[in-house]
Amino acid sequence: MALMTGEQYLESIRKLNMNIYMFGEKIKNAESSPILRPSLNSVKATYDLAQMPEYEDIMTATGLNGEKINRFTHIHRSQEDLIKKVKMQRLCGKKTGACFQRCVGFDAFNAVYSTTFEIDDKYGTHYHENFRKYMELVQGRDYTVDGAMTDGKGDRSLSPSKQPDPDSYLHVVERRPDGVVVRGAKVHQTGITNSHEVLVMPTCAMKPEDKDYAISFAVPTDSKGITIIVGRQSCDTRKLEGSSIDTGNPKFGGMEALVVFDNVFVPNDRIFLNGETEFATMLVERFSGYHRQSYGGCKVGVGDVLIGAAALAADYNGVPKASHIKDKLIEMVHLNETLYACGIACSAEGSKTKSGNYLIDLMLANVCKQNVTRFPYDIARLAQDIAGGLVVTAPSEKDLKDEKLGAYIEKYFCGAAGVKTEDRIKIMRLIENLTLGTAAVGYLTESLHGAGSPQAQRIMISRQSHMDEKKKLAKAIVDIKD
Amino acid sequence: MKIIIGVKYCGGCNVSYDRTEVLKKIESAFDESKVMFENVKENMLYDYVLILNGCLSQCADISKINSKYGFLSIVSPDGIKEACENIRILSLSLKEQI
Ligand SMILES: Cc1cc2nc3c(=O)[nH]c(=O)nc-3n(C[C@H](O)[C@H](O)[C@H](O)COP(=O)(O)OP(=O)(O)OC[C@H]3O[C@@H](n4cnc5c(N)ncnc54)[C@H](O)[C@@H]3O)c2cc1C
Repeated sequence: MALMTGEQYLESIRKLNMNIYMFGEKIKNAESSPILRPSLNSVKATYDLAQMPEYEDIMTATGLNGEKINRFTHIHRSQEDLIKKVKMQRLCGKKTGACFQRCVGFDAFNAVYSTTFEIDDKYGTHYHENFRKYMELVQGRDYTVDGAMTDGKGDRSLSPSKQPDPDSYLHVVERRPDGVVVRGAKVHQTGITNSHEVLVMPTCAMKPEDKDYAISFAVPTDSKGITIIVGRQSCDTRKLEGSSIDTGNPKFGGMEALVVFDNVFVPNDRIFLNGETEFATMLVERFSGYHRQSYGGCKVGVGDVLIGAAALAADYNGVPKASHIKDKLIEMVHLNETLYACGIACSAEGSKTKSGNYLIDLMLANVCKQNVTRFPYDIARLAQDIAGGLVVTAPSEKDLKDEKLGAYIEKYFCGAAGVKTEDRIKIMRLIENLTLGTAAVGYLTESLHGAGSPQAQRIMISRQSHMDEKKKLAKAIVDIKD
Repeated sequence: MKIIIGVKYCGGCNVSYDRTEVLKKIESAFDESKVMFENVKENMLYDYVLILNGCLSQCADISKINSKYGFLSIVSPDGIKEACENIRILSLSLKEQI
C-alpha cells in the first residue's frame, strides 16, 4: 500500500494512541475536535490529490524500491524533482488555503538522507543504512512524518550544554546497548497530531561538549513518554461555535504543538546521528535550505487564494475597474510570483550530494525565504486595503441568519448589485482568516520565523555572497592592481 | 470499431483553465459507443492521446505513454476544436481502413 487514499489515511491515524492535550484536557479523539479537524483535512488533501489523474504527475513519484509513492515521501533524484516539489506545494496551498503540514517531514527526509551518508563516510557508522530502511517504511506505508527541529532553547545566548536546565534542548539521558533514552521538547511542531511518526533533528550548530544534544532519530508519535500540547491559534475557538462562515475557512487549517519527550526510548535502528557534533551544522543547513525552498511553493499557493479573495472583494464592493485596485492586484501577483520564481530558481540550480540525492542551491533558497519573511505581509496588507473595514467588523453568522438583525445586515452590508451579502461576508471572513485569524499563523508568522527567523537567512546569504570575487570584478574593470 | 483515447494530465500546479471541464466538452462531442476516453495507464497502447496541460510549459510526463496515431497537447480551452477535429479525422480514416 505505497499510496494511501484519504480514507485509509484517516483510518491509520485513528489507530494511533497519541497523548494529546488542549485547553487542559486530554483529547481522546482529535478527528472529531472542531479545532483540530480542519488540520487533519489539510493533510488528507495531500492523499486525495495523489489519487487524482489531474494531479498525479506532480503528487506522485517513484520510490526507492521502484514503486509509485506520494511525492511528500520522495528522496529527490534530480533538479526536476526539486522543481516538482515546489509545484506540488503551490498546488496544495491553492487547494487548502492553509498549511498542509507534510513539508517539514519531507524536507527532513532529504536533509537526513544526505547527511547520514556523509557521517558514515567519515566514521564508518550505519546511520545511512538505518535511514534508508526507515525511508522504505515511510514510502511503503505512505506515512506523514513531523519534522522536529526547533527546541525550546531557553537562554538564546547560551549553547545547549550551557543552559541552566539541561532539557532546554532535547538530549540523550541514557545510552543502552539497544538504543538511547532522550528527554527534552520540540516546540511549534506543525501537524504532529496528524502524523504517524516524528523525525527529530538537532536545532543548531554544536560544539564537542554538546555531544548528547547532537541526536537525530525517528519514533512513532504515540511512543511512550511523548506528550503533545496543542498550541492556540488566533480566533481558534470560533471553530467551536458551529458557524462555518465565521471561521473563514470552514474546511482546512493547520495546527502546531509543543511536543514533550519525557524519557523516550529510541532503538538503535532508528538513530541517524548520535554525538557526531560537527554534522549538526550540515543537517541544520540542509534542512533549513530545503524548508526555505518549500516556502516558495506553499506560501505562494495560499497567496493565490488570498489574491483571489481580494479580487472577489473588489468585485463584490463594485470597484473591480478602479485603476488603483487593479494596480494593487497586479502588485500582489508580482510579489507572489517573485516568491515562486525564487522557489523554482533554487530548485533548478540544485546539485547532487555525495549520497546521490539532490540539494537546492543554498544561496537562492535563503534569498527565497528572506523574501517570504516580507512579501506575504505586503500581500496581506494589500488584501485588507482592497477588502475594506468589513474584514474586521462583520457581524456573526448568527446575526446574519437572525430574522430581524439579518435584515439590517443585508441592507447595510450589501455590495454591488446582484451580489449576495452572505457571499460578501464569506470572502471578508476568508481574508480575515488568512491575514489575522487561524491561517495567519501559517501565512504570516510562520513565513517570518518558520525555517528560521530572517537573521538566519541573512547569515547564510552573507556566508555565500563571495564578496572577494565581487571586489575582484570591480577592481578588474577600473584596473586596480593588488 | 471503438477508438480509445488516452487522457493524460500534467500535474496541475498552476492551471489557467478547468481541464476536467475541457475534457467533458470534448467527450460530449462524440458518441461514447464509438470513441472511448480513459485516463492513461503506462505501457498501454492508445489510438490517440490527449494531453491536458494546465499552462504553456506543457510539463506532463508522457515518457511511458504510447499512442498509435499521435498526441495532442491542449493548453487552453481553445484546444477543444482541434482535439475534436483530430479525433473525427482519425475515426474517419480508421473506418476506411476497416
Ligand atoms: C507556525 C510555525 C510553525 C513551525 N513549524 C515547525 C515545525 O514543524 N518543526 C520545527 O522544528 N520548527 C517549526 N517552527 C519553528 C521555527 O523554525 C522557529 O520559530 C524559528 O527557528 C525561530 O525560533 P524561535 O521561535 O524559538 O524564535 P527565537 O529563536 O527566539 O527568535 C526570536 C528572535 O531572536 C533572535 N535570536 C534568537 N537567537 C539569537 C541569538 N543567539 N543571537 C541573536 N539573536 C537571536 C532571532 O533572530 C529572532 O529575531 C515553526 C514556527 C512557526 C511560527
